[in-house]
Amino acid sequence: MSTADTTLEGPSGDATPRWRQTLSLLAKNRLASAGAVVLIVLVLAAVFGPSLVPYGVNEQDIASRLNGPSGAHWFGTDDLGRDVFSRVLLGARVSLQVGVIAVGISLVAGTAIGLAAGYRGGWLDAVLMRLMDVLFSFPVILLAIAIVAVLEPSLFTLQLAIAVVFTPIHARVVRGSVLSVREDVHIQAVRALGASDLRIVAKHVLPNVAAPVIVQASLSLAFAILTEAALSYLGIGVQPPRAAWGADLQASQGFLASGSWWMAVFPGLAILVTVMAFNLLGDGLRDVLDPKQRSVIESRGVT
Amino acid sequence: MSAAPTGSTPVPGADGTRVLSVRDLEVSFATKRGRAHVVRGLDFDLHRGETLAIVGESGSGKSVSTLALTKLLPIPPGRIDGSARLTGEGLGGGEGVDLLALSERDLTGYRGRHVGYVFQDPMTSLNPVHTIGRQLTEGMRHHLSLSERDARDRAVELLEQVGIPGAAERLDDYPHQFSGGMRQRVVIAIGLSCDPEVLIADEATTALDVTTQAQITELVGSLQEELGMAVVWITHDLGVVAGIADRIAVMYAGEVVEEADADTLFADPRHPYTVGLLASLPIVGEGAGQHLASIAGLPPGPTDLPPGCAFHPRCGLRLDPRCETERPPLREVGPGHRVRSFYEVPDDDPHREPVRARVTGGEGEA
Amino acid sequence: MTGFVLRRIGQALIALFGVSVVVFALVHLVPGDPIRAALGTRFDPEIYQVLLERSGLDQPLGVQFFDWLGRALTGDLGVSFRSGRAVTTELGDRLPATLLLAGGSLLVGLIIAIPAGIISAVRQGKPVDYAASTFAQVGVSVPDFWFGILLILLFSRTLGWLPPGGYVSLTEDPVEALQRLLLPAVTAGVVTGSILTRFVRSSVLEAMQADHVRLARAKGMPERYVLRHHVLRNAWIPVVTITGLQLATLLGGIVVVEVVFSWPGIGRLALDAVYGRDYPVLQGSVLVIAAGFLLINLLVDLLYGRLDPRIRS
Repeated sequence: MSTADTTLEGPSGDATPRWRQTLSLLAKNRLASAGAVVLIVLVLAAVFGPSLVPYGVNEQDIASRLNGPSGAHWFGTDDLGRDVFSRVLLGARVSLQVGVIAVGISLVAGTAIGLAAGYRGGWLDAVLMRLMDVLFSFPVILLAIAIVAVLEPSLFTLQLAIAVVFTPIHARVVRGSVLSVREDVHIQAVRALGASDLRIVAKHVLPNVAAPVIVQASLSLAFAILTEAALSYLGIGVQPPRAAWGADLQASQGFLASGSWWMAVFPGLAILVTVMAFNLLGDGLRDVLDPKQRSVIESRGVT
Repeated sequence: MSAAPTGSTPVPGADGTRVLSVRDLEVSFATKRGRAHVVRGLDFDLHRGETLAIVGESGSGKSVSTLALTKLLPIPPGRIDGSARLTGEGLGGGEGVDLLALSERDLTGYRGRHVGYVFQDPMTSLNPVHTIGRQLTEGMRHHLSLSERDARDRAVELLEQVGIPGAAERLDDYPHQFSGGMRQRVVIAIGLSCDPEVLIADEATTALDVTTQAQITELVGSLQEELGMAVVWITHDLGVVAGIADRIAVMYAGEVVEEADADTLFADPRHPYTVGLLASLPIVGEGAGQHLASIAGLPPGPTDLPPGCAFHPRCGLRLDPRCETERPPLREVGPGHRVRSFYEVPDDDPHREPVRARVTGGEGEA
Repeated sequence: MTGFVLRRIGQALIALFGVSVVVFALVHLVPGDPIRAALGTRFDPEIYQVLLERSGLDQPLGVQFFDWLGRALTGDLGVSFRSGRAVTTELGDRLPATLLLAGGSLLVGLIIAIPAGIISAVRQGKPVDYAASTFAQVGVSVPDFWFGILLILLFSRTLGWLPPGGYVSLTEDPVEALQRLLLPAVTAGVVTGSILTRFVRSSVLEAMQADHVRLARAKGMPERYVLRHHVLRNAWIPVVTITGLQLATLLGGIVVVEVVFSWPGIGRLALDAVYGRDYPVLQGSVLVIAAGFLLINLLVDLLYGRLDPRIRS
């Protein structure tokens, strides 16, 4: 199998495929590996959660409502007597789903826009990038709120809103990379040989912009999950009674006075761990794939 | 390693008063691949009005050794051993002051005040956000306790001295408003501002074009005559120092391999490395197409020095069995002429031919 | 310099125009009749007619846009569907609270970031540096609203030291105002501070590598002097830029913190407008925040020009 892979990669004579080198380099980065492990656990929890959790997400036990953590309810129970542990575990589903779909949409849209703008240049570049600039002029949360406000609040709207917000970021990254490879000798050569634009982009430009896009995607996932949680907290994202970390935190605020700290602590901790895992993985990927790109903290400083 | 007083023979241009005496200077850095020995036992003396050129490839330890004199290196990971005794009026009596024995705090009183530096790149040596007046006066105000007014007056004088037209008006300009050559003049003025005993010019002309290079070398030469300081001129280019150096020390892999007064070194080089360096000098006035000899191979890294003579892997002669096992000592082969080699390149060696041709060609125009 | 300023202002105006198109388009993307939707069960044909005429929704789209834009330029952003008050008045009432919170948060962020960033750069690779970088990594990953809830839980519900929310204006009762400001400002400020810490650190590190710093040391200037006049003086320039951009980001993200602490700012107003389908108020608040965002970015660029003599001339 692996020999077939290398021959496909070209006559480089290199025995190890590039993705393998990347993986082994990544494995040496302890923080990134920790992030990857946490994410694998989260994905497993999201996939197999329903058969793992001790209680149903909306299974109510009014008699033992607002109970603190115990052997029966590890993270305690909420105001309706639902098991907080089960809700936190299953909350991973919607967070990951929204994050992946939203970033997926923005990745496809941003890559298409960035490729078109960078490869074609000229007026198309000017128009597309000014449009991206306008979207970029809005604060992230505010633009998402405005979009949700116009459409009905739903899971799809939520994903769309986050996707719109992230599209300009991907478009810029891709355009920048395309500009830097467009004048490459080998791409010039292929063009001189009469290859079609579509073929050049697909076979030669796209592989060259893959590294920054992968890094950006990982970092965007972190930020997308934070945004989803914030919007759900504001009541315009994932709607109760569905288990979602942000929405559950909103609900917890009414019971702080009664000392039900577990309702507030555990869902937030889950967000923190997830976001941090994506950030660490993203920073690790950046170090391996594309050291010139900014770190997660640096890129947050300018969005 | 030998602590014998070196170059104590009076040289033309020097008046015989010793200002700096460096003994057993060793500099190493802790790295992931072990300790890197960058300077390995350097000895030299410097006299008033004298110009010592330290010549070597990059990585030979020539810059590091002069930065180490005032501990301008990160410590740790750096480590400096040996002594650097500075003598002069009010400097610890006849004994002088060992710079390397001073605390960081005390050393700041010597940097700039007694040992001035001029670095390679005039484009980055000046702080872009301060005026050149500010950068020129801050050292004088600190070391000499001049008032702002006096410091500015002196700054104007200095700028005139280094040949900047309209000095008084240009004091409040920023570095980006000057050309590269003019900036290097400003940097030289900074180096001279506190009237130091020793001025260290570290590749001071490397970043400049040839015409400017000549102007700057000439400027330093005439200032030295006027002010009487000693100059250490560090360069990778023997051609640059041919006209100005009194004495030349050739460094390779952290040690001096040959040292002599300038005329002797050019006329009678004994170390195979020096011979190779001289053979690779282009001849002024000769047309293009002239094939330049060059030394094959690369200098060793400071973490994996070869056993024996550090130069032996690249040496074309390697005629002594000890070359590969024993580190050669620095031997005196003539008055003030010392060579670190078991074997001296004989006068009739074919390698000397191109050298002789070049030296006579070069001497002709000097 | 004037060329740079004019060009930059021109860019900002074009972006503002783009923003206003988007803000205008928002309402017109709403499926169905926004006024009918806003009135909901309180539907009354008379009120409907008044609102329809005053909002100009019966006109062609292009006319509506330039009408709206023209009025917006004179400070008339329409009338709230809910309260019947001018949107400008509504915004004016909320603006001081948002500015106070944004200013307070930025202050908290800087109080954290400047010392932490400088110390971790100067002590690079030492424990304090690792502590600062861990803080920064947690800071960018923590959801601000959750952090706010934790602060309420600890300082308000458990220890009872500070009120859990609400706003009092500075002119009314300065002490009470600051007490109420503390928790929300720390909430937003810690996130800002963690981002800024990393920037201050890398900026100082970069400035320390500069050749002119070595020359300043070679001149014999004391280490404190070198740090202050040759490292920090240069490191400020990028830090000022990032601080400005962070203020803009704060302004945009502050809606969440306003909700956590029942802070009656513009973000809260925008969110209430979403719940209540009060489109003129939504348009107005989004426009004002986006304009503020652009204005701060513009000022940052101009300030950058002032600080760096290379751009100034």
